[in-house]
Amino acid sequence: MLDPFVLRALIGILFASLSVPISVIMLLRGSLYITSEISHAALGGAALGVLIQTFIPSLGDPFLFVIIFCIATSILVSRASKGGQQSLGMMLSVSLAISVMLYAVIRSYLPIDRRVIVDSYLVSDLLLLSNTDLLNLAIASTITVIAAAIFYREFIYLCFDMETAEALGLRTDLYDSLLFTISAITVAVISRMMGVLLSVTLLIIPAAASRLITRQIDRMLVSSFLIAFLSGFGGIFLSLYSHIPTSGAVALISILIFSLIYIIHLRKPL
Amino acid sequence: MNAPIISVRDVSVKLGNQIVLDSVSFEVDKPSLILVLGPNGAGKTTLIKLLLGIIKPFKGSVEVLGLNPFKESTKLRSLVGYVPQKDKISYETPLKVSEVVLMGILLRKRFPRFLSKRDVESAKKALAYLGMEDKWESFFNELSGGQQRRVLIARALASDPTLLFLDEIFAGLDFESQENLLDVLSMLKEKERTIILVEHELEPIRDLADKILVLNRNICMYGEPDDVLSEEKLKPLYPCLRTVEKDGKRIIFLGDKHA
Repeated sequence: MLDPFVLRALIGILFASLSVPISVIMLLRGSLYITSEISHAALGGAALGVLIQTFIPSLGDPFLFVIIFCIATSILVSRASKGGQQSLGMMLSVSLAISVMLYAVIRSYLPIDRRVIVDSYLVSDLLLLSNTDLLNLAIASTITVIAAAIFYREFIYLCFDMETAEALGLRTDLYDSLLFTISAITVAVISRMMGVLLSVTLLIIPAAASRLITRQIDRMLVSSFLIAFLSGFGGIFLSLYSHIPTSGAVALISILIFSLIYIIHLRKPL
Repeated sequence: MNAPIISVRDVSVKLGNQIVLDSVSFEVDKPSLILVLGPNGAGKTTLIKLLLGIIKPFKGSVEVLGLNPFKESTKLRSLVGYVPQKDKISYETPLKVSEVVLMGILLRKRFPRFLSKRDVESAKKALAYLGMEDKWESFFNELSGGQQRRVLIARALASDPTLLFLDEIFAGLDFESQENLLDVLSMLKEKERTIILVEHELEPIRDLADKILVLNRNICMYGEPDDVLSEEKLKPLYPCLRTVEKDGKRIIFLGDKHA
C-alpha cells in the first residue's frame, strides 16, 4: 500500500502532467519562453494570497491568487509582445520586480507558519501536497485540458498563420488572450507542484523534447504529457530512495529524459 | 447597372499616429487582375487589410462586392480568399497540406467548425486545381517555396471565393515556380475571378495584369499597363528604376527592396 504522501504526490503529478501539453501550443506559437517568465508572477500572487487569507480566511486558498496573478501577467505580457521586444522585455522585468518585491515585503510581515506557505511556492515539495492542493490542481488542470481541447483548432491556426486567421474572421486577439490565459493556469499548476524555481523544467522540457520525437502536433501533445508524467513519477521514486528533494529529483529526471531524446535525435534526426 | 466589385472613396487610414493611406479613391468595376505596386511603406498591405475590413479608415467609404467590410464582415469574408506574405506563416508549426487547405474552409464556418465529408472534397478539389493533389498527406513546411505558395492559393480557393487578395506571392520564387504561378493566375482569370495582387516588382506579372495601381500612401497612378508604365511617371517613386530591352520587349525593373 502506498504511503498517502506518495499517493498524493503521484496524483498531483498526474494533474500537472495533464496541463503540460498547452506548453506545446505555446512552443508552436513561439512564446514558450514567456511561460517561465510568467511563473515569477506566481510568487507575488502566493504572497498576496497568503497575506489576504491571514486577515480574511474566508477569501479562499492562496492558489486562487496565484492563478489570478499569472493570468493578469500573461495577458499583459501577450499585449506587450505585440509592441516589440523592448516593451516585452520591460513588461517581463516589471512583473518580476513586482512579484519579488511583494514576496519579500509580505513575507517579512507574516508569522512563521504562514511564511512556510509562501516559501512552498518558491521551492515546493511534492510530498507535502494536501488534499486541498490536489483538489485545486484537479480543477485547474481540468479547465486547461477542456479549454485546450475545445479551442485546439483555433490555437493551431493562430500559431500557423495569424494573418489569414484574422482575414477570414477569427477574433485573433480574443483567442490569443485565451491561449495565454490557459497557459497561465498551467504555469500556476506547475509552480504549485514544483515551486517557481524549478517549474521551468516541466513547463519547457517536455514540450521541447516532444518536438524532437515527432513532427505531428497531436503526437507532440501526447508525448509531452508522457515525458512530464514519467519525469514526475521517476522523480518521486528517486527522491524516496535518495537524499534528493522531490522537485529537484523530478527536474533531474526530466533533464535526463531530454538529454537522452536529444542524443537519439542527433544520431537519427526526424 | 451592377455595383462595382470594389469601390474606395476618399479613404484615409492611420496606424498609430501615422497616416498610411491618404485620400485613396479607386474602383474595380469588372472581374480583372489588379496589380498593386508601390515602394516600401506605401500602404499596399494596409490597403488589403482595409478591403478585408480588418483596418478601419478614419475618413472615406469602402464597398467590396456591394458590402460594407466593417459592418458585413462575416458575409464578406465568406466571399473572399487571402494569401499572406510568406514571412507571416510559421514554418515551425508542422501542419499537413490537408490541414492547411481545410483551414480555409473551417475558418469560414461557425464555431465549433465541424469538418464534413463535403469540406474534405472541396479541399481536395482546390488542391487538384493547383496540381498538388499528390501532396495531400505531405507536411507543408517540407514543400518547396513554389509548392507552398500553390497550397496557400488552394486554401484561398477552397471555399470558391469571387475575390482574391494575394500579398507578394511571387517574392523569392525561382523562374519555374513563377511560371507555375502565372499559369494558376491565368486559369483564375479565365474563371472571371477578381484578383488583387500586391507585388514589389512588375515582372513577371505585367502581361497578365488588366490594371496597375501604383500606391504611395495615395494613388499615384491607376490604369491599364500601357498608360501607367512609363519611365518618366515611375522614376519619381523608384529612383533605382532600370529598363532593359529583351527580345524587342522593354522590361522595367523597379528596384524596390522587399519589405
